[in-house]
Amino acid sequence: MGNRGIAMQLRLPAMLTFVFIGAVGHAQTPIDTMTDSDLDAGESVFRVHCARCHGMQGEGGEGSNLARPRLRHANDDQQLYDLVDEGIPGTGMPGVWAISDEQRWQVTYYVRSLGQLVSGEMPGDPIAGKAIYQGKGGCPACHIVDGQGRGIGPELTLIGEQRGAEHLRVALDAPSESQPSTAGYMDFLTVRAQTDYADVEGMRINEDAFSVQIRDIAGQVHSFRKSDLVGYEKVFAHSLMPEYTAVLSEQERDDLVSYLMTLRSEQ
Amino acid sequence: MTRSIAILVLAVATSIAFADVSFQRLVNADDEPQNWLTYSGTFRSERFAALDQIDVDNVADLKVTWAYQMQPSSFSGAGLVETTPIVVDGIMYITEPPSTVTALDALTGKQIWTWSPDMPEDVLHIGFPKVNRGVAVLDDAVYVGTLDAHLVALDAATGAVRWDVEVADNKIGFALTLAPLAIDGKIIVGVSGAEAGVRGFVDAYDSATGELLWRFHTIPAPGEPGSETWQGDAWQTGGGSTWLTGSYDHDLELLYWTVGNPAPDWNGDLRPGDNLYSCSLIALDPESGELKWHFQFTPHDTHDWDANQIPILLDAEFDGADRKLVALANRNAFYYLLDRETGEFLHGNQYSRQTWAAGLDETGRPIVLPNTDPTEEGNLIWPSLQGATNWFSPSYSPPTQQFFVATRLMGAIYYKAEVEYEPGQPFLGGGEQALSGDEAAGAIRALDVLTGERQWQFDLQSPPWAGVMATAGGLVIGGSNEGNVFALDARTGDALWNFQTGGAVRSNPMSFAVDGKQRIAVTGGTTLYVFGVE
Repeated sequence: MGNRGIAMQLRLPAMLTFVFIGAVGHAQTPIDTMTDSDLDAGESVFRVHCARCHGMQGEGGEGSNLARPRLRHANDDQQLYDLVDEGIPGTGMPGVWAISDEQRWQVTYYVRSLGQLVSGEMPGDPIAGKAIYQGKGGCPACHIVDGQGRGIGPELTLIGEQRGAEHLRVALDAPSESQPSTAGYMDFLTVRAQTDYADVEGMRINEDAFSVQIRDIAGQVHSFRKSDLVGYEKVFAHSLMPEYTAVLSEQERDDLVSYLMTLRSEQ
Repeated sequence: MTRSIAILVLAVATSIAFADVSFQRLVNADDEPQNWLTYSGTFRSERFAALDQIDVDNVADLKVTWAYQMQPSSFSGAGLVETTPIVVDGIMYITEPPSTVTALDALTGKQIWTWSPDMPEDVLHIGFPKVNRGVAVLDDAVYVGTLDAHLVALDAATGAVRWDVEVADNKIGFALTLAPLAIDGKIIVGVSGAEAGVRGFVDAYDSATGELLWRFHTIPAPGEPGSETWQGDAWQTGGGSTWLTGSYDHDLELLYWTVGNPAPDWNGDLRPGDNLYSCSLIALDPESGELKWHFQFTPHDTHDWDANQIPILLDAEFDGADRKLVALANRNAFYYLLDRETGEFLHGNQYSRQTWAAGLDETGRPIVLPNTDPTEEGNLIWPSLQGATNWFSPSYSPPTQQFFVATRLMGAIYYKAEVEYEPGQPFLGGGEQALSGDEAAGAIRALDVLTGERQWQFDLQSPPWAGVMATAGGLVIGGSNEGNVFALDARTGDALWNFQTGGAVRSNPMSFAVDGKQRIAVTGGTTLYVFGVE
């Protein structure tokens, strides 16, 4: 048990974290004068508009883990406020226009407060997890970390700040139940396309009413006009990633999740 | 020699271009199908191209003849293009977000002039993007509504400002995003702003001077007809914005305008009653602004289902009698056919997925199902707040009596929350989480205009934000979020042609002819594409 939990680099005393946040949010904003009631109000807004993707405690899920002092797209409070207002183009993060200015600052304040939370214990040993990642798990065959591996599935270089531990555990145990999506579209939806000459199974890269682009498990990209297809199927409850319950023990999967949670930018 | 003749012809054409677009020309727009003189093509708003040079047999050869890349102003967030071009005698007038007007040579796409208003950096646009849907033309002027709620008349030849009036105060949330409607000596506009708790209205301005001629408030004050559907002071912040161009019947002398949601959007507890004339179609006397009749589609709306969709005017035999009709596919997922002389409900049916009503009663009032209002915990209802359709235009083909509508198949979890009115702030009382991506879809649907029965549908990858246009060549032109512009066979819905524009299509197609050749115009991203077969 000795190493469990050391992965998280956020174990700053709450007060120190607060000072750090204060230094980041240097510009004068309404947050400077906010109170506990604003924090409560911000939490209410967060539950309605944010928790579905970011988790009830901001621990991450389909959306990024927000329970950390530095957010990749928001260097200061004003940027976080703007991001809540406008969203992040090209990602699943929409702008939340249906709230007032005050509520937007309150939820900004609440999200900043999440960075002060001490994150939970990790379930396993990240050092053992790294060895499993590179060895028995065979993960680099389909994933890239720090430039190493093959890019079939999602890149995992920053996965520790993009997803929560629980989400990653589900992703290992039952990948079909934990598929990442952008603006509601599954990023790696399994599709099967049939032409008169071939059957192709792979992950949908893009699709519109007239065409579909598919990456097969060997990494090859196929582009079809739908009018040329004799069959086309979207297989929602399916993932091309294997279920690791059949590959790794419970302990090994805990270790692997713990390693994945160390993959972050703030080291 | 030939070249100098061509130049001479062009010079003549150009001198005609900036001349009179009289009211009579607008009334008789059918007589000049090479032009597109109003937002929806004619006062009847069919968005039907009477040109048939591009048809089911040659549409596969449709190609880009020119493109114009807009220059969205330095505003952050500017860039959604919802304009419908107007074409008058070889000159095209478009708007670029947020409120720029540009005149282009319709033959080549080369710019003639462009005009942008001085806009405050902190201009409010609560509940909608920084968009503009186009201009109106009348006589020798071009009229545009601006995001900061001004109405401006520009000289059609140069873009110089003739007059500029403030329609309403943007600082409390009013904005103009619609294309104005020009009728006889009057410019008619409506306002956006219900999400900020404004009290909506329709205005008429003198086209020559900008003088306000009349104003009709869509939310009645105490003592006025309809005020019995409100309690207390709720009417003062009751919404009912009027943000889409209406239709006009010159023979009946009636103006048809649609009214948006009551405010606050999702918390109906703060405004008991039917909340007239929110979510309604109203018929106004264009001389006085007097209300002649109304029909409310969604009484006491709690889902933000504005009725701001295009009312299409048509004459047809209905139940054995010749009737003057108005057809509208509503955001609430029902299709309606009314008598446009009286407002009498004649027919209605569901045309898109919905889970909030058991149907319509004999007066057209929805039979609302229990437990369909927003709640604090969230309540999943179809359609989403963006509706089964929205502002983007439907189309009506008179020769085949078909009604085409781009429909959104999308649900949302609706939330209710406490809210207090503050000037210039969102006044919503809740929120929504729409089911997006693979949980949502879209379709182009063809309906029999008299029965509302679906004839076919063409599936889209996602809920669309682009309208449709039927043509005399037997086509239905449409667009998708994924950047496709396409032509469908109006009889079957089969796709006959498509083109990838590289950006989301969020506007309505239109058609015109220049140099004797039919063109089809539609935007993708911030680029305007003009297509032709030669």
